[in-house]
Amino acid sequence: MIPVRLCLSALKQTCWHEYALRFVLGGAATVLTGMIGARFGASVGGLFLALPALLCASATLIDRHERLAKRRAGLKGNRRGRLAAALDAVGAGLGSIGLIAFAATFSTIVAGSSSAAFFAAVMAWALVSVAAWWLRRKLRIVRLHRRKMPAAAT
Amino acid sequence: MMYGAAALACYSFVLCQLLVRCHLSAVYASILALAVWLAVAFYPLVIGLEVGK
Repeated sequence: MIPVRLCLSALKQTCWHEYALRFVLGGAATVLTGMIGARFGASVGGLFLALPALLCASATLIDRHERLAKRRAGLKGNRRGRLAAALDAVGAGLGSIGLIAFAATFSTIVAGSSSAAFFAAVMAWALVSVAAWWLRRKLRIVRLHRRKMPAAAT
Repeated sequence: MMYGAAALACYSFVLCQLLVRCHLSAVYASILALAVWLAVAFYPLVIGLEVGK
């Protein structure tokens, strides 16, 4: 298994305005969620906690970023940009499975203690997200291996 | 939040498919996929299901 590593040098590849855009969108989504929750109730507001505002911006920025990098090398980079954004979407999808576990754990435990519920929910999110990532990786390896097998036999 | 998260999972899947299979740019794909998020997130409310108290 490839270990998950923190690569701080990747932070330098992103411009300050791209970070600013993400922070502004994240803040706006949070404010919107609070306003909707206050107006229509917590259950409707809760839906907007998983609003894909950040993912929209992130996918667009990653696509643009990769295209520009390829163009500097004299290539079009359209395919690279799309695939990088798609990979970001896959990660978000796996994270959102963890988010379901977060919400389920929190709603189950919150009656006892909110801080314990939050801690357990974060643990559940991390566990389920990493498990989903690991499972996807294993399934992809098996699928790629099966594709190569007939080619190797001929 | 659970319905929203399930909708986000569907959104991510559709966004990925639009980018890889339909060759759409990230801007168009992410806007188009929002329809999926809205449909999945609000489906329980539309059919009158209790989404929480």
